[in-house]
Amino acid sequence: MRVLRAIWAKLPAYVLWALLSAILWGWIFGLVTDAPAEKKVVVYIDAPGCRDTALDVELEKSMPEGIRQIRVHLFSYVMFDEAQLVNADLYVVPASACAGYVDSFRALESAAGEGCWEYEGRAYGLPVGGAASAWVDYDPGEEYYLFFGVNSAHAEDGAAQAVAESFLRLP
Amino acid sequence: MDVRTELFPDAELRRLGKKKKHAEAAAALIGGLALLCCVLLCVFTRTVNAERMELSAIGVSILGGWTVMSLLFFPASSSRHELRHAQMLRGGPEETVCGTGVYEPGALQIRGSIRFRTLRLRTAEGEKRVKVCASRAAALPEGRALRVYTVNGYAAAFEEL
Repeated sequence: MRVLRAIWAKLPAYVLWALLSAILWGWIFGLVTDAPAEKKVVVYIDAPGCRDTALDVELEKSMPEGIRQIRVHLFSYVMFDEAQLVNADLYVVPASACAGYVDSFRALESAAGEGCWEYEGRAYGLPVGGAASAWVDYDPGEEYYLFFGVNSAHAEDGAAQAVAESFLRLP
Repeated sequence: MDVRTELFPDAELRRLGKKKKHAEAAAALIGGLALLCCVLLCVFTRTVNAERMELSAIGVSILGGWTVMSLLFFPASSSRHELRHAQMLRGGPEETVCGTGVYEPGALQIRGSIRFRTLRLRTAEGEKRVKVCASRAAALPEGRALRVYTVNGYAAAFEEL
């Protein structure tokens, strides 16, 4: 009983340690598992669900040169930091939401094929056509398009292009 | 009889010193191992296992920390308090009280110090109270005529009369 009372008296210290541990290691793992923007390709997906870690791993199997990490996030992830969404390299967005984000998309330079998403006469989005549906839960009533970010750090080095091609090849 | 019995003889001080040292060494070892384990979890983290590794590191850190805290809060800290108390008893001016003693029920904890029991001594002049370190209270017999040596109101030694 005395031991229990002594532990009870120290309970705030035990609880504080648990909180500090969670915050400290969460922060350290954030650093360990992150890479700078120039070494990372970030893909945002606006879909009902996505096995993001498994898709990361799949896309990292064919990582472009100079890239250390590929990160896939659902749009809901952005609630903590909107800058991440604005600076993403690739977006997968349903047709019904594309117009709302058009300022974040880069227009396609090469002559776009059929079925691209167009806005004011310019092509922006490549049709996803169910690519990566083993990892992404698409809304069956929507057409999805893949866009390149206007602020992407990989517009010139071809890394975003390479990851987009890998994504569109996935079953 | 008239043999003076110290409540904290040298052997007891050595035992307390050892207990404190062992508890602190165990805490340092467990803390070090937990930290090493967390560092290794960081080193072997890959995209595929990142979440599991992070949760493992948090778990190891929490459990390791709790173990270290328990060792430092309880065995190490109680030995440290008793050692400090014994040093105070050895260094202070002694007084003597003679009488027949009975312990009051229960013990009190002084924050950041020892737990003590109160010995009520019936003396020729009336009743006097002496505080006795709770862990050594059993060494001081109740119901017998005693001469108790006290320092700052705490029993340091006694003689059976």
